[in-house]
Amino acid sequence: MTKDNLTAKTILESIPEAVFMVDKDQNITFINARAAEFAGTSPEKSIGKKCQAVFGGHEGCDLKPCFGKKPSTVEVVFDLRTEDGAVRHFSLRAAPVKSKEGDAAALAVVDDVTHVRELEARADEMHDSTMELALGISECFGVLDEVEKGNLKVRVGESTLSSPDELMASLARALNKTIEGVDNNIETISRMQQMVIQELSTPLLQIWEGVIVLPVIGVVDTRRSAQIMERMLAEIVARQARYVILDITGVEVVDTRTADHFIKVVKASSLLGAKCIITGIRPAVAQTLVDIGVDLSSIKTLGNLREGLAECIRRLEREKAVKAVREEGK
Amino acid sequence: MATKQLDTNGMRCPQPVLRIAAMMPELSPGDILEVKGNCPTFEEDVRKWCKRMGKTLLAVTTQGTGELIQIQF
Repeated sequence: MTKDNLTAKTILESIPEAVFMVDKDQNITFINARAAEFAGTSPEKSIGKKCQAVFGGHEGCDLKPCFGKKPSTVEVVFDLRTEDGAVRHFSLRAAPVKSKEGDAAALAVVDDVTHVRELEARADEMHDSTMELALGISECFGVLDEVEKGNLKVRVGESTLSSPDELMASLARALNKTIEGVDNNIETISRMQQMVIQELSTPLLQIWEGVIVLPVIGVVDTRRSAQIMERMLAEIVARQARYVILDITGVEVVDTRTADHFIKVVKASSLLGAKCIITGIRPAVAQTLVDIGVDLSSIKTLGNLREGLAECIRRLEREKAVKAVREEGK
Repeated sequence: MATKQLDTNGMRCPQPVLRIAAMMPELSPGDILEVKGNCPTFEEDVRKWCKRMGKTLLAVTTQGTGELIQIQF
């Protein structure tokens, strides 16, 4: 072997990419440790064997196009089952080359793309769940539109909702149900309510560019409030949120400790540059807050989620307009 | 019967459908909403939205790198 060949071989053997070479009969003439590792074998055991035999006998390792009358490159994706039974995904790109003797050969590079496939699958799942959420919110808008038009009779299970408060509470439950990915059937809302409350972590939804919503349902204790705080702050940073709507339509009981948790969340949000709006304070909750002397005057509160969103959009538009005027003035 | 326009170019899923939803109060039955968008799943998302909300997707037209979708309310 010449010095150049030795150097090339040493490089190919040591690079992290998986590389192998076959002759015109698709027998492996070279394979580095990484490629052999993908195939669950060693370079020594692979040399001289058919490519298909080493890589599991699937069609994905068919490199015939590299040896046709008009040799061409091959790009395929194939699966391999590892010794522990897991399936991994690989991409293979092969190109026609000449061996040092001048014979036709093919040089193949194999990539483990399992993580890419997993990310793609996860992205698809996230898209589907986000769309479900968006559709749920769309339905909220649709129902609210109907309410505005005077149709207040909305049936959920066995009960008829007849006030905006009841309606908002019901919609908040529906949203959370959507997030949890449970059955969308509105008939089951009442039955599922308890389960959703128990399983509810802290869903945070970006419903507008720069606006995130945290619908809170059930009891907010110290553990839950810490969870809310942690997730909300992380999401504000991750999504560069300008506004946070803390929707407490689903909170039926508030005591001084709960109110204190909310105030802390609002203050922490403002430290990160996000303005926090609390929506959906129920009449009974408002009465309790007054009775126990909780001062929420420093916090912007609005009747419902829709008003909160409208307010955020207005403020964002205003900020945008001010920014445009400033830029024009420069 | 009115026709309104909505440009969601540059917005990512699910913002286009949320913007459509936010326009619902402005539209009456029979009105047409023309929505422009270019996110990768724009058409698929709007189709889902129309199906769920009971609106009619009239047409999808390719416009540059995006699409123009007409929805009848």
